[in-house]
Amino acid sequence: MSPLPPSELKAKLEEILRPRLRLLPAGVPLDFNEKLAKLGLDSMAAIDLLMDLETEAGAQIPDELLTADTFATAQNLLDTIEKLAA
Amino acid sequence: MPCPSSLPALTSWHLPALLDEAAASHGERPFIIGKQEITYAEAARQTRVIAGRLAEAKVGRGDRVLMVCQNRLEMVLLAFATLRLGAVFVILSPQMKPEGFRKIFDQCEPKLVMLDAGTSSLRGETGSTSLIVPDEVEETVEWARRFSELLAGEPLAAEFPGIDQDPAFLVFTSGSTGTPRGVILSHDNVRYATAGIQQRLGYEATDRIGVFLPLSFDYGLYQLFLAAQAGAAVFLGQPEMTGPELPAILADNGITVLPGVPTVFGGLLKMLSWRKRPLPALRMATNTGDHLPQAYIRKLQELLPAVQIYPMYGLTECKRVSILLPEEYEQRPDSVGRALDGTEVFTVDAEGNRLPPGEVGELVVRGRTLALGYWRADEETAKRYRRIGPGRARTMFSGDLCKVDAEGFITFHGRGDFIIKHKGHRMSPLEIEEVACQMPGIAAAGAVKDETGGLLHLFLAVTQDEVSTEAVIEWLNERLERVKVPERIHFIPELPKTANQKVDRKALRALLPTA
Repeated sequence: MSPLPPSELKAKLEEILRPRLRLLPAGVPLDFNEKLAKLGLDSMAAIDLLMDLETEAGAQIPDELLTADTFATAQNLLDTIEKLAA
Repeated sequence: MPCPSSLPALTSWHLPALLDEAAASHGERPFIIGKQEITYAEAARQTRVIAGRLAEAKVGRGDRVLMVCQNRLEMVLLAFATLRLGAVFVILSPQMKPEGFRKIFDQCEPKLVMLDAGTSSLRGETGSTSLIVPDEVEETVEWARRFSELLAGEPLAAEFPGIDQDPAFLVFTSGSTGTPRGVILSHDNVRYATAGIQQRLGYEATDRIGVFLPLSFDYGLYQLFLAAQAGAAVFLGQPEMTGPELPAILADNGITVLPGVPTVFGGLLKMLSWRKRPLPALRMATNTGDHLPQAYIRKLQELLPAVQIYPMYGLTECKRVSILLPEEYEQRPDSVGRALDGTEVFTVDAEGNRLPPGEVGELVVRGRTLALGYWRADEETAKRYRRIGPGRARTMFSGDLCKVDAEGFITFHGRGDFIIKHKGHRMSPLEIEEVACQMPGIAAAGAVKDETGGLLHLFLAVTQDEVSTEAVIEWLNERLERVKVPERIHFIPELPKTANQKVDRKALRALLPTA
């Protein structure tokens, strides 16, 4: 799958993220700079998130970017994916 | 008659000696590796210095030192320094919320508390108790001493002041009443269990043990003692590292031994199936906390054929009961192995009578690993540890239904009491239910675990319709450690009750969604 255009990527990322953030109430906007762990993303959910990002958002995150930092915030994820697509 | 002078010296089998022995035989080898590093010799020296400062602060034999931090070197050093004084350390989960912390703090009445950046908000619960923080806590702290201040000055000159039957540390677990209970482990308990585990696992001085379990979890903590006994290195990681980055961390740090719980192995398997990656250094995986599904074992064997897998079984109340060796697995894939050497296990019926081999009953354990009891909880201690049989031997009732065959292999058949094991943590549904019921609008609550799906479910009956799932989760999340916050919330008109008006968990389990 080819990478999504930047305009769609952010919305897609939020769509994939939201169901995995069990401490983020529905209707509350996702703060892209909030720690995902604080919003309820645990390590198991992060693995599922990675798999979804790669299958649904066309991102291919190389091994060296599979770090805690990449998964720390939604913004970090977005930046990582955008940089890879550039 | 042998001449008395030919008798070997009586040894006191305490934990400070374990570190000193490691410093003597493996002094230059690394003890802790990762973000912070230290050798055995340096750890032995620094813990003597810290002990000197603690002694000046009037910490002495039997006093408690409480730590609520993420896994970090300072916690390891403070733990051993505490032990040198014959004092007792307590490590709590950094996910601890003020309410839960307070319950334990009040029981422990510590002389000293160490918090870090992630847990500093708990200082509001510590009254006038002296506080310590690692230097990395950024803000200028007026309310605590910095850790580095403990590292200056003369080392403690005095030797270990106690005996090896003294308490070494407390491990808090969910009690049967919903109040957390501290299991009291003696120096001898820990050294005996450590030696027994090492006899089966055979850690080597060249091993690099990847610790991603929190040190508040006893099997995480015991890695320190197992490592010291072998002169091996502990890579001190964090539970948060068991996500997508785990394979890279294992590979980059040359981890050879991975102690884990099923969720850690489940995550690792998922990652390795998604993205193949060799882990050439890894030679051993040990599982505890919860039953390791056979499907996981098969998958691990397939993806990491060089790794030896050791399913184990135990309770904090005696640390480790049994370990299954890899060569025993093919013959007995259902078993959790034989009891450690020097430990006896058998099953009993409801009246406490010993059952013959092969009969399912409550598993009981005897031997030197049996903890001293529960901290300041005589009633629960007396229930857990009883003297039975003609020899009146002290016997620990596990609460688990098991079978022990004629050769001593144990098979697990379910939990007799209603304790839930979730993500490697033992928890009482009562604690979750109690917190849920304190929420306005909640009439009754029942927590159960779906063993097939692996999720924690909470059933609620409400007195008003406005209570939302999000509000419930928020409420629980503010008051409970994250692992205790159920993954699924269900609203039902009324909770099923047993004849004596308790929540009927069996009936609740029948209400679990089947998908």
